[in-house]
This record gives sequence, structure tokens and C-alpha cells, in this order.
Amino acid sequence: MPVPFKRYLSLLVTYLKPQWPTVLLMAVLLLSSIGADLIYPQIMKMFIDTATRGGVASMLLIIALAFAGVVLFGMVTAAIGTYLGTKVAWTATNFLRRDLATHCLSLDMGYHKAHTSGEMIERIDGDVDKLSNFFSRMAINLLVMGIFVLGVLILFFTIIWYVGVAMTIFVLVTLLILLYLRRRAMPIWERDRQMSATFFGFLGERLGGTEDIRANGATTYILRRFLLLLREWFPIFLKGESAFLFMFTVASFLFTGGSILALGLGTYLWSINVVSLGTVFLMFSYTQMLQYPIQQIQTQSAARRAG
Amino acid sequence: MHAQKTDEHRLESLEASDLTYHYPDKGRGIEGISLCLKRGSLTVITGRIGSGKTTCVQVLQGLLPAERGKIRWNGQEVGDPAAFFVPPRSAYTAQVPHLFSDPLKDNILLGLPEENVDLSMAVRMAVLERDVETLENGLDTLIGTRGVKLSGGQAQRTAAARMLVRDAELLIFDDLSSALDVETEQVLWDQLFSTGERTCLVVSHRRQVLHRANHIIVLKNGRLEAEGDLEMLLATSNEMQRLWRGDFAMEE
Repeated sequence: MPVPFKRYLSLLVTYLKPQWPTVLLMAVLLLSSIGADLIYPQIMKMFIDTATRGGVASMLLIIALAFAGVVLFGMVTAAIGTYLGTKVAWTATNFLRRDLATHCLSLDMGYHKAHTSGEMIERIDGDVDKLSNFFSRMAINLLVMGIFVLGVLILFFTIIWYVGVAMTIFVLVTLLILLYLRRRAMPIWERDRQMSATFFGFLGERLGGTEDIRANGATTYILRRFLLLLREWFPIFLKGESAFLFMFTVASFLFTGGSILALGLGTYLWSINVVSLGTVFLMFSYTQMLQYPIQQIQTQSAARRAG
Repeated sequence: MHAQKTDEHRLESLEASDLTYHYPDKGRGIEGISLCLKRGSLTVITGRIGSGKTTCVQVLQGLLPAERGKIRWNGQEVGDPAAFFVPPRSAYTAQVPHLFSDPLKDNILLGLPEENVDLSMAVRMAVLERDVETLENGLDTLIGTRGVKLSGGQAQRTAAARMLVRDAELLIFDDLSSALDVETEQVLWDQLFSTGERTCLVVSHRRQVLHRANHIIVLKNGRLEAEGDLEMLLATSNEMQRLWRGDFAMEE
């Protein structure tokens, strides 16, 4: 059920407002960790350039220590930021669950007669779970990843403008292709998830009723139902898994292409003495780092399927 | 898969001797239980909570593996009770019946072809008719987590219909009446014994059932405490007298 983005936004505002100090702290921490991620290839560049110019060892040591410090800082801020993000998401969705439950309880008997208790649990808990994913994964992750990619691209532009243009085109093409593949695979994963829920629901109930089944001679019947369910699930599972693997393969190809682009461009610019060796390394690391946000989109899809 | 009842399935007598089973974790269980059922009789196993009543009927049917003991069906020894005690020889209603998230009808039939069995008879015998009428889609109503939630009594009577539709020679009820009101229970037993053809083994401590019983087996701590008809047991067995007075009813 697609909800318009505007309604998502108003939902965010309503349920995040009461926790704004935590949200602010979380934002600062996550931005700091992005900053650290963006800075440490720059330190590596300094290290390589200092070394190739034959700089003093003490300088190299200082750079190395600075590198370790920045990496550590980035890890700590990312960990605390993620912790706060999860906490904010749970607090917000628990308020939402409470509001929903209160609302359902205030409805008249007609509603309760028309809807089963199972349905109500699904509405209050299941749907809110999906929203919780939105709060903690989609909203925060996508924002963080977006800022990160933007930061990397700006840094590419500071090297030489046409490097920036080339990498921007690479990122846009990659994102468009992967998002397209993901959108195409989504309905299959959704069906796979439903089938898996149906299957395990079936299995749980039948295992609980083993005595009833055995003593009333229904073993063959239950096994038949089991096999029929498996047979129904298998093609969907296969399709979902193939779609996932296909996406993974395409992504690998795209990123290898990106690395070739960065290395090729860098080597050329280095050979005509436009950039230093450190800068070539910088371009290569940034391209590698672009993989992470895109991989995040993939793990997110994987989590959706597992859920 | 639906075995038609033939003469070879016909029950004349069922004897079990020295049935013994202990739960691996608790060490509790039953020890040396013997019983004998005749065609058309009602045998009641009674006793307080934890006395081994359910264990006894489960071991008899091979739902729990017996450590010792022999079971004879019409004098012939039963090798594999788990494979033997199935319809059309016997059918079972568990103490806490498990219903599945399926239409009510599928829960009762459990795969039996509807045209070969008397579904409406089973529903009537289990005193489930009135409940089916109140359900929106009758027997096609979906029950379980995504459908209508049945009351405890309705679930038990559905399980009873599940057992009755199998038209088995021997009917084994584990405490069927615990979730039934007195009148419903009365109707159920009246209908069950109207033909006199059914052989029943029932776990219960309800007076109505004890009154009707041809033979009563009293268990205590997994052992046979006393057996006989009600009059004799009430005269001689202290445990039976206490059960009859409902001394242990508080435990439930």
C-alpha cells in the first residue's frame, strides 16, 4: 500500500518532535561519522604524497596517527548514532502503536464485529513494524547515504571538474539501474514473504496438533497439504532469489566499471602530470566507498525479504 | 487414503496389560496399567490431576512409546500401536484439541472425501449444529487466527465431530466434557449411546459420565488404584469417594 511521501513526512514530524534533542544529537553524530569517512582518504593521500616526495619519517608518523584517530572517531560516532537512531525509531513507533490501539478501542462495536482480532494485531503491530523500518532504515539511512554520496561527488569536483562530471554520471546511471531492478523485484519478494509466512504458520499449527493428526489418521492428508504448499512456494522463492542474485551481479559489474573508470582517468591524469599519485589513490578509494551506500540499498532489500 | 471399514476392523474386545511409560524429564508416568474393553461398552478412566489418565490413553494409542506392556485387539497382539490405532479402528479427541486455520469443514474432515462420510451426522452427534447455524458461512467459515475464534467448548465439539466423522470402532475421548455445560453434555452422551454399537474409552471425572459407565478405572500416581462399576467403587474406594465429592475440583 503506497503512502504519499507528504503523509510520511507529516507522520515523521508528529512522532519525532517530542524527541527532538535526541534526534538532533543523532543527526550531529551521523554527520560527524560521514565527515570522518570523507576525510580519511584525504589523509591517505597526504601520506602517499609525503612519502613519494621523500618527506621526513616523523611527519609520516603524525599522519598515520591522525589517520587512526579519524577512523576511530568515525566508528564511535557511527555506533552511537545508529544506537540513538534505533531508540528514536522504537520510541516513535511505540507511541504510534499506542495511538492506534487507543483509536481502535474508541471505535464502536460495529468495527470490532467486522474485523477479527488477528486483523487488528496485523494493523497495530504488523503495519507499524513496516513504518518502524521506514523510520529507522529508510528515512535515516537514505538521508545519511545521500549526504555521503553528495559529499564524495563534491570532493571529486574539487580534484578536477571533469572528474566530478564523469563520476556523477557513473553514480546516476548505477543508481537508476539498481533502483529499477529493485522495483521490479519488489512484488516477487513481497509474495515470497507472504508465502513464507503462510508456510511457517501452517507448519507451526500442524506440529502443535501432531496427536490430533496421527490418532485421527490424517497424516497423509497433512503431508499432502505440506507438499502442495512447498510446490506453490518454490517457483516464487526461485524467482525472488534469482532476482536478488541478478541484482547483485549487475551491481558488481557496475562497480567494477566505476573502479576502472576512476583508475583509468587517474592514471591518465598522473601520466600527464596533472595529479599526484596520492590523488589517484584518493579517486580510487572514493569510488570504492561509493559502493557502500548502494550495498546498503541491497541489504535493505535482503532484510525486507527475510522479514 | 480413506480406508473403508470392513469386518477385519471390527472390534470385539481390546485388552491392554502392564502398560508402562515414564516421561524422560520428570520421571512421572504410568506403571503397570491393565484394562479390558468389550464391544459396545463405556469405560471411564478417572483420577485426580496428574494421576496419568491422559498418559494412559496416549500410550494405548502409541502416541507415546510404551516401555512395557502388551495390547491385544480381538485377542491378537498389536505390534505397532501408532500405526494400528487409526480410523477406522479408533479415533481420538485430545484434551486440548488443536484446530487449524482452515474452514470449519476442513478441520472436521481432515482430508476425508466429503461424499464418502456422513458429515451432518457427525456435526449433529457432536452437538455442533446450533453453533454452525450461528456462523456466517456455516461449515465453510474460516476459523483460527485469521478467521472466527471458537470458544473452548466449540473447539472441543469440533474435535469431537472430527473424531465422529471417521466412524471408528473405538472412540477415545480425553476429557471431552470439561468445556461443555451440563445440558450439552447430556445431549452428547445420549446421542452417542443411542445405537449401543459404539465402544468408548473416556477420560473424565464428571458424574454424568461416571453414571453411564460400564466400567471405571481409578488411577492414582500413575498406578491402578481401583476398578469396577460406580456403585461398588463408591462403596469400597476412598479415592473414588473423594473424586465423586469433587475434593480435587479446586485443582482445576
